[in-house]
Order: sequence, then C-alpha cells, then structure tokens
Amino acid sequence: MKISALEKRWLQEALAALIPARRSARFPLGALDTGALRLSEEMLDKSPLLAAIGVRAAIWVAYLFPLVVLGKPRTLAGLSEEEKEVYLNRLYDHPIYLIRQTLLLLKSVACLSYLADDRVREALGLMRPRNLPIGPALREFEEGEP
Amino acid sequence: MILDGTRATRDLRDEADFVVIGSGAAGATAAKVLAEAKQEVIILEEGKYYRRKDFSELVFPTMTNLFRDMGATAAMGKVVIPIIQGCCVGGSTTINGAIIWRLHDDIYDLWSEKFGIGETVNKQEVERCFDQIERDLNVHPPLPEVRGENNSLAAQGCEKLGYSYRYIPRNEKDCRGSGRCLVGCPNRAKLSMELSYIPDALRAGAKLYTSARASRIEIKQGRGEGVHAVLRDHQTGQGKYRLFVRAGKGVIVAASAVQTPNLLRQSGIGIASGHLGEHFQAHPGTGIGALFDHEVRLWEGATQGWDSAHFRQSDRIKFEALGLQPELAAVRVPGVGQKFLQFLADYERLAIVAVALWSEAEGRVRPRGRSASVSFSLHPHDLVHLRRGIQILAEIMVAAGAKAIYPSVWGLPSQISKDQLRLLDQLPLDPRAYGSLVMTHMFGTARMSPDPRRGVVGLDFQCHDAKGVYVVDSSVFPTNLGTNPQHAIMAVAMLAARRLVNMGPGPKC
Repeated sequence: MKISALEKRWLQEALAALIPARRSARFPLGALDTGALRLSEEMLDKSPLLAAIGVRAAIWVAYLFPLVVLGKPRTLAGLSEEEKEVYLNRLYDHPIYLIRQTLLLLKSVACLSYLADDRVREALGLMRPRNLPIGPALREFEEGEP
Repeated sequence: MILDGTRATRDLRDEADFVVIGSGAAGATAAKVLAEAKQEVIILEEGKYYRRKDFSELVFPTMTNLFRDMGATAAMGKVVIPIIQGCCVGGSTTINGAIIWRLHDDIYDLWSEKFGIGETVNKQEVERCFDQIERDLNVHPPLPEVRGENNSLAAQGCEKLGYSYRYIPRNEKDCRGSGRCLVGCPNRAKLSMELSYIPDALRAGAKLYTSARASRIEIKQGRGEGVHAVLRDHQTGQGKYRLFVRAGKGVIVAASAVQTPNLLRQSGIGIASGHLGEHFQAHPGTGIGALFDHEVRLWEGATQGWDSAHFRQSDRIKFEALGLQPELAAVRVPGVGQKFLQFLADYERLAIVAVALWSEAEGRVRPRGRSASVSFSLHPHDLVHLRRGIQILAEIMVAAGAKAIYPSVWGLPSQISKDQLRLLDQLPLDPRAYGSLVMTHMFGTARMSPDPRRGVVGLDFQCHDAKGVYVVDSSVFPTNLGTNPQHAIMAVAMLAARRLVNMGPGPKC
C-alpha cells in the first residue's frame, strides 16, 4: 500500500516525535536519522493489507488527534516539543484500546529502524565485547551449505 | 535435489510416491522418514531456502524473508493478537527458541479418554519417536557458558521461591549463545529442520520445491491424486507458473494449523465434518520486563534457555525466558518520546521473561484470499490465569534481585518497584489491557477422531472423506498442550510416517 505525499509528511512528523533527536545525551539520534521513514514505507508496501491499513490509521491518529486528546485544535506539527511528548504518551496510554494500539504499532515500526542502527546499538552497549565466555569445546563452524 | 520455484520458466509437472506439503517440524519429519524408507518424496514449501549467509541479525529483514506475512497475520477477536509463523524451508523451527518438551501424561490421558485417539497416539510408540528425535537433533540443556544472565536470573528466582524449572533442552549443537534463535541461528547451531531433517530427506533422495505454494489437492473418485501449487515470484508475491505433482501413494499435509484447514477447504476435503477450521487452539502469551542493578545483556546467551511448567496444571500457565532482539525488546520499554529514551538508557540491565497460557479458548480459521482469517478471543479463565502468571513472573524476577518490573499492562504504572508488587493484584480481567499479546503454537483445526462426525482425520491420519490425503501436523491435535509443541509435532509426524511405511497405503495408482 502506497501512502500519499501528505501522509508521508504526517508519518515523518510522528516518527520524529516518537523517538526524537537531540533530546538525550546518550541517544542523540532520532528515529528519522536511522531510516525509519524509508523502513515504514517499505513495510507499508510489503505487509498484508490489514496490517498496512493499521499503520495508515496510526499515522492519521498520531497526526490529527491533538484536538481529541489535548483539546487543542492543532495537528501534531503544530505542537511544541513538550506538548508532543505529553500528547503522544497520552495516546500511548489512551483508555480506548484501538487508539493506544495504533501508537504501539507506530512505536514498533520506529523501533525496527532505531534499534537496528549500529550507532544506537553502540550507545546501548550491544557492540561491546561479549561477557559470555565461549567454552573451548565449541568448535569453529563450517561455512556453506547444510 | 532443491528446485527453486522462482526460477521456473514454464508450468511444471512432476510425480512421486508421496507429496509432502510443508517443510516445518511435521513436514520435514514425515519427509525424512518416508524418504529413508525408500519412498519417492517431493516436498512443497511456500517459502524460500535461506542459508546461514542469508540470515540477518536485524528483525526487519527477517520479518520480510522468514516470517509469514511479515509477522502481520493476526487473530481477531476482542483484541488483535499477532500470530508468529515461519514461511521458509524449516517453517517455524527456523525462527523459534528450539524448546523441547515431550507430551505430558495428562495429554495422553485426555486424548485417549475424551477424544478416543489413544490407540494412535499411544505413549509407548510416541516416546520411542521422542527418543529418536532427541538423538537425531542432539537435544540437551544449554551448557553453562551459553546460558546467559537472562536465563540464569529466572532460574535463581525459581530456586529461591522453590518452583521447579529447567534449563531448557534444545535441539542444537555447539550453541554460542548469540541470542538470535528468533531471527535464524547465525552459527548453524540450532538444528532446525532446514539444517537437519530436510537435508536428511534430500540425502535420501527427496526432492524439494521451494517458493511453491500448494493451492489445491486434486481429488478423483474420493482419493487424493496430487497437489496443485503456484510457483511464487518473491518480488511480486504473485504466482508466475503452476506446478502439479502427482502423488502415487499419498498426499501428506503438514502446512500448520492455520494453513492446513484452508488448503483442505479449498480442495473440498473435510468440510462435511463441520469441524474443519474449528477448534483452533493456541498458547497466547505476553512478556514482562525486569530491571536489575547489574548488567543483564539480554542479547547474550541462549535466547530461551530457561522455562518453568511449575504452574502448568494448577494455573494453566508456563513461563520462559525471552531474549528478544533489541528491536523487539525495545517495544517493551515503556513510553514514547523522551520518556522512552530515558527508559532505554537502562536497556543493558533489562531482563525479559514471558508467560504462555494453556488457553481454554477455541477459535476458527477460514481462508481470506491467499491468507487466513483467524477468529479467536481469550476465554475468561485465560485472563485470570494471565493475571496470575504476570504476578508470579514478577515475584520470580524480584526474588532474583529485580528492583523494578515493566508490566506492559494498561492501567498500571509503566514501572513498578519491587515493593509495589501488590499493584499486580489489580491487573484487569480485560484482554484489551494487554497490548503486547502474541500467539504461537496452533492446534486443532483438522482434529483427529475415530468418528467422522467428530473430526476431520481418522486414526490412520487419513482424512475421513479423502483417501490418500493424510494430515500429520498439529491440526490433528484435539487440544493444545500447555507446553511448546515442536517436539510433539515431530513425534506425531514421525509416528504417522512410520505407520504409512509399515502399513503400505496401497499400490501405486
């Protein structure tokens, strides 16, 4: 499923707010810096129709619901950084199941990109040498076909 | 011989004694047994054959390549529950935690007394199959050096509370504790089907068509004559060419409890029983995070090296460690925005453990286009058990030293301290509160019964209304198990295939 140029801008806003850049000393990157927009589009393109509809609905909810959640007649783009933080966390904990699930879906998409980035993994400590000792009995593995 | 369906340049025809549909736990096992008994075997697998070099440590490419529908198939009911299935050579064994459980005595008894299939699934014979599989697949608990902290902490918690547990016997050889079972083992250590029984079957002469989606079983005069398949182009997902494989002795259906009933339905088989696609059962579950003062490093060690069935009978729950990939584990980290990043800073100190329900619910599977529609809602008792499971898991992790728990349940704080466990008494009995439910292990949609009015498949694994069509996957299980089913699926498929070889299903047509 392809999204329109307008929806793509909404998605970009949502991803930028879900995992924002330069808000944490340890994690200066945001979701958009890790290719989350491209991944989201690829996912929309490849996933089954119902899932794609779910992601699309999530984009609409995330972008258009400040009026419902904050009572402010604005879109996500019209909110300050602090308001975005409050707004998205309220959506994430919203009493209506489908609304909070849409945010969970968008967060999942953002995490697929963010936590796959080597720079983020480095910041998390994933790239450090392993603590786990490898027993001497473990042999080297063969390459190639089974 | 492996034939890649995406490389076909025309429609194809082939023939064998047996056509096996599916290359997962059931299909691979049946194919191996039949091929090694000198039967001509052709295996049809919808997905591709991925080698070690094709596996990615990242989740998104894995979802795209190895998961059915990118992991986006879902059971729809009061809540939406994703269903995780593999769609590749090896099926779900390629992307599971390699957890091995034999059938429990209460299952043998239940299946015998309530469903009348004890004659087929008799303990003595099934246990011999278990023995064989455990030898073949080097089943053993993880060595201490690859257990990893996530598994060890859960074990410590159980020790302190006096709960029984296991370092899980798994089908692996030389595991390096890479924590990547769920995205395909990068070290070829997990002896999933594409690295064990499928190569065995191929060595014994079987032929494997990949990217070949079985679309219909050809029935003539009440007998399965062969299988029509669509050779998929993975770029477009569309069928490009057709394949028909004539089955001289039988069609073996092992496509999983979601796909098998739909294939039978599209072939006009089993519908009259009224049970096809009904009685869908599963083990839904969810995970909790536990925060420690020291590093856990979830990404190191056996992905799933600890489990506990201590409360299986009393509360219909089972626990297991869950060394999720970072992209999936991070979804369990509370909040979004800056709040998420603050919690993420503790990631290396995070453990994740899961509760799986021996659910009392039954759902339904129907075809929907090329995919499946699964209807399923948790039983009210399941919710009581889920609450109990999360409470006990939290107690286990606190006993192991956790200072906080991330329950991932709506209505509760994102994080509760070890002194606030009483808050878990208020866990809602509403499935909508549990946003991270996942469904694995499916059963029952073409269940076995000696009575054609009560089941789809007879005691000889043959469909009551289609001679020569045998179902050997967990669709035939009349109930779920309460523990991980891979081993039981393989053992029952082995039993079925051995019987086919011994019984001789009749002369070639």
